[in-house]
Amino acid sequence: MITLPDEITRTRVDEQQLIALFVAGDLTTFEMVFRDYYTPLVRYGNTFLKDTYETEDVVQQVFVSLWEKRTQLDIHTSVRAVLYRSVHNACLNRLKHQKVRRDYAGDWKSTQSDSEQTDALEAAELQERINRAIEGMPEQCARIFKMSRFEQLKYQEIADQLGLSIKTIENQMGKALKIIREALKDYLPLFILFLLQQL
Amino acid sequence: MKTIHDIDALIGKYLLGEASPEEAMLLEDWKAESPENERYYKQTVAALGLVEQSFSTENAWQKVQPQLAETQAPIRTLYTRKFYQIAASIAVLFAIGTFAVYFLNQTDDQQLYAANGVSSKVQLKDGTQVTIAKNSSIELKDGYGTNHRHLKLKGSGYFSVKHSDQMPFVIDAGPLHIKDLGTKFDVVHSGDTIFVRVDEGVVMIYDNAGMKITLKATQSAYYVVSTGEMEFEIETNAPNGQGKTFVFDNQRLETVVARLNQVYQADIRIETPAVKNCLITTQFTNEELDMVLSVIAETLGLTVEKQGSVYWLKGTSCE
Repeated sequence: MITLPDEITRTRVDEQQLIALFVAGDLTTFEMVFRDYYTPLVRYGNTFLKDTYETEDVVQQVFVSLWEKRTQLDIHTSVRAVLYRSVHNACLNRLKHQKVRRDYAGDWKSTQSDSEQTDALEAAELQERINRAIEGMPEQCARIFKMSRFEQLKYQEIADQLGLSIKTIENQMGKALKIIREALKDYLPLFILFLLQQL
Repeated sequence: MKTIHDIDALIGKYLLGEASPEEAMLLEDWKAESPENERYYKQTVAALGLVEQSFSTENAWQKVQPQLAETQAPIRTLYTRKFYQIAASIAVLFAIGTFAVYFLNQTDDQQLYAANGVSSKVQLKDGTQVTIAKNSSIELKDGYGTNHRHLKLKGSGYFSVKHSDQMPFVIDAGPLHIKDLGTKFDVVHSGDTIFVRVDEGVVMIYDNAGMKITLKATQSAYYVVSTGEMEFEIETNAPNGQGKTFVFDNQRLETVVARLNQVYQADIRIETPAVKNCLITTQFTNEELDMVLSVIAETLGLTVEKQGSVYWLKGTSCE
């Protein structure tokens, strides 16, 4: 991926220049912004939609619609912030629509797409190791982690069910991740190497 | 540089689809800081049993580009550093052009409103009404009301804001930023403390270190700016005087304990010095002290023991 040198993206003054060029419809700037943020935006959107193909579609639409509306845009923060906010909103809208459609069709298939998981043996072994790590967690921590990962409940839903604050859920999930990372610290680098070879 | 207190919690939030745009950007920035961070992130993705699919930006651009109306001739430049330098210098020229026009139009605008002896009430051109407390001032940044609605507050003021989605109203009060989401609210800055009370609507307050919280009507918050450390709490002004909510946002255990001792008139002590600096983020509303302590203990992996009237927090390290 191409990244902008710091002096263009990171400082406020240059951000204003970027905004000015963006709003003025400078295609070069637009392409630059697209190439810079497309990947992180798809990654971010995918955390909601859990379907890379669909997320790509959403992010592309966001860019096209921003281009069309660029003269009416009032960007007071940064182009980047507007993009993230737009992708966030577009994805949540898409989820809402999916839910309405599912409710009508009576189809309750999981939103977790199969493509999210590798079906290789290595993935099975990874899952096995993760399960063992979960067994070693403090009870509350393991319960929260399972509710989030396996029952796919939102943080708010977990907080409501357990009568805890959402911040506690965030904490406990962070802690759970720490425990798994620690338990798998010799294995994870190998697993990532394996993934890279698959690409 | 922004500080991130609990990177695992942030990554977890992100990967589980719970992150706000601001949090997602914060994480991207952190990842970009070093290859170690990037590696750490990748390992955490794997630790969750997730796999990031690959996709092509180039293919995506080929799809998007034809959809852009009013395009110039397609640009197929090789993206090198030099290209960016050229782009940057064009950008600078462009910016100078806009700013020149901009300042010429600004002549009539009053930028600074100060209330010296007595408080004074002003109406800004966007319809916002501000009562500036005595010996306080507000300074409108360039382009207020046309390009943005950012202002600087020194001292205290009461704000009645006409909300606009397109142009959020943001106050910079020292290190604390207060963003209106449709509101009447009060800001009192005294010494080391900034107090924000919301009468109507919702405001968001945040600082440069990544702390962020939303206040609703009848809620208020103190923000204490001590040397580097941040202390934070919320008190809900329920009509009957009940309903105390405490929010601890990445605070040291020692600070939290001091606060609890004061509020509950209790004697809580930390047995092990090592855990004094453990960070905790949590929130309590009308909880019994026992409940509060057990949540804290659970979160940090500590144990609570009661001996007479003293509660001892014991543990070996922060998990």
